Amino acid sequence: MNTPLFRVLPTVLVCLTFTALARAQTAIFYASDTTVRVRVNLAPKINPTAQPSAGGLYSIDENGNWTQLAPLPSIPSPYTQFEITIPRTQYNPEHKYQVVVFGFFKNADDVMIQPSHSLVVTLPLVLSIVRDKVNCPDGLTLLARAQVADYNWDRYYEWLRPFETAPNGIATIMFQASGGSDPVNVRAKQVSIITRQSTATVTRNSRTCILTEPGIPNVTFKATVNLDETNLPADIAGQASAAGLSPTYTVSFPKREDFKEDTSKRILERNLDLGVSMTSSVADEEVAATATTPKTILRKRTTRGVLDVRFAPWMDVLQPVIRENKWLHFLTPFYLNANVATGKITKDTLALNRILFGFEGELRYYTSRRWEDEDGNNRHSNPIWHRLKYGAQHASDRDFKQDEFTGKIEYAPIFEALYNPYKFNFTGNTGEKIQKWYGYAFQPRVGFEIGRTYHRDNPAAVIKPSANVRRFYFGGDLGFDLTGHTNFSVTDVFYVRGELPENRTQNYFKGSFDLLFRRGDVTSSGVFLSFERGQLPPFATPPANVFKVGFRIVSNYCKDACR
Amino acid sequence: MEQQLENSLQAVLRARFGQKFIVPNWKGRAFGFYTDNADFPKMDVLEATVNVASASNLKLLPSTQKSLQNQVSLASTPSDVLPHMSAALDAAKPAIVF
Repeated sequence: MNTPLFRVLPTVLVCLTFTALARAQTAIFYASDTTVRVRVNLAPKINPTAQPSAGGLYSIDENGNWTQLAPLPSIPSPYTQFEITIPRTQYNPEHKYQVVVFGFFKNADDVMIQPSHSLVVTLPLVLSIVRDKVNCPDGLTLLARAQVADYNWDRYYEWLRPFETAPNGIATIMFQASGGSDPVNVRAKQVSIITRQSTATVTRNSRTCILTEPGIPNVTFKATVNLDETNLPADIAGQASAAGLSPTYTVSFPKREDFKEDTSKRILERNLDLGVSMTSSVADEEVAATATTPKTILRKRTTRGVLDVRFAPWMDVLQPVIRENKWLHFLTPFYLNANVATGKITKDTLALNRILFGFEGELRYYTSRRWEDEDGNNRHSNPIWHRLKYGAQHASDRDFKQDEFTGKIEYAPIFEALYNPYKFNFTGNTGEKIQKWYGYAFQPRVGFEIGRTYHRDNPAAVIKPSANVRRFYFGGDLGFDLTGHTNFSVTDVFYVRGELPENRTQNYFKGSFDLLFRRGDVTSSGVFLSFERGQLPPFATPPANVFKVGFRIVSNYCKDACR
Repeated sequence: MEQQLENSLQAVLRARFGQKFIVPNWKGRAFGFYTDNADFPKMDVLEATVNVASASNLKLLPSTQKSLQNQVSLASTPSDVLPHMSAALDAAKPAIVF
């Protein structure tokens, strides 16, 4: 504990409280996570004529004991401004702080006096620039953090509010894209106060969204903001900058795993999936002999293109807040799913040559259960996930020679007790993952389809004519994992077909067994056995009765970096 | 407030995952480690945020709830979402207005 000299010397004291001082004449306080910096500006009211002789930054505890945290630094001529920096750990919000300066000063009347310059420090707001995806995805967020619970936000909001109607003057803003490009000045075109003053007093944070013109760069960038200092409270640093800010947000490109779905069963997850391919090959073609020419072999080039597109301009338009004990409605009002190839629609065509469009929706409901376990811990689960899917679509072949409307409704609940795949069947309460040796998953479903073929015009060979569709079905998928090396799965769906009175029932079964020899991060290999029997809609091909044995290698060299 | 959010999220995750929950490095573990249902982390993050907001007499606007959930996926970790939870809390409004 030190006692400053001015307390015992009969000197003239110039004691000014921080809050009473005009900003440009006294001090600015900056705080970061690691330091507290005090900048003292003595001019123009007090002009020292030489390096002050002694002083520093002092803290005063609850009992009035003084402790010097940092001595007065060497002040360069003209001795009007200096800074003191202390570690943030030395700051105690319960203490008072004073900057004390001993030296020779010149007052406004140009009379030499020997004062002490004393400032009572209140902890300031910490100002920073952040990118906030929740409240301000398209702009910069000015984040002010109060370091004390009882901070008075009045002056900050009095300064801030006028900029909601006149945003241009809030600050000069500069962006600098990463990669060493030149800084660019931008202007604020809209200022929105995100945090109400009453909320800021509770959370101790205040966010303000600033939309700029031009907008946020599309690469990582640095932003520097110099706030308008007119009426800016003295306890706010007028400048803030941040580097490494994230650019405009874009949806990441789908990973490789997203393409594993059968093209006919893919789910709608993105606005546009487009695939275009063209193949060109040369092959020998036999030209049969005629009465005048012998049999010849011709070298012939064949060029084919394939277009595979899934397009949904508006996806999940309702975007419900996900909650339990409430029906959630997901709706995609329009989608197009086309898979077509050039050339004739023959058996060796390169695509399904099918064009579908329509809408699809889902109603989802999570039941909730909360209880205390035997150890008295709160537990929470969703025992049943009700899922009711519905939709309508128009289907046709590529040439629109056969067109039909179909509607569908399907109930596919998931029972949490019956859904415990191997990957998630483990315990971790000892602090590490202890994998169990098995896993299982059962997903039942029941549904109804109805539709009508309204136009049929000389269908191509592979497009079979179909009657009106009235189809009820039920079944499910069942899977067992035994250790991480074996998997046994069964799919069975039973159809009752109204469009075919003489043969109403149809069952589809597929069972498979996989034995993995090697399960690695990059490559897995193993043998598989499968048995498939029956038909699937639209029941246009003969029933399958297939037994397969094979060896499968799966590799993913890019691991998690796949894009 | 950040500490309260962290405690709240941990409590909600503990309640959902029970004995599966691994405490060491829990903030760096993606939600997809525990589940393949993307709705669960969305619900849990919102519940943890609402719990802290309610304790401070704050109410999250529906638009904020939606924006917060949009930032959560199976690939997210608690470390990823905690700043968003804090941002959502800042945008809350007092539940009781005098």
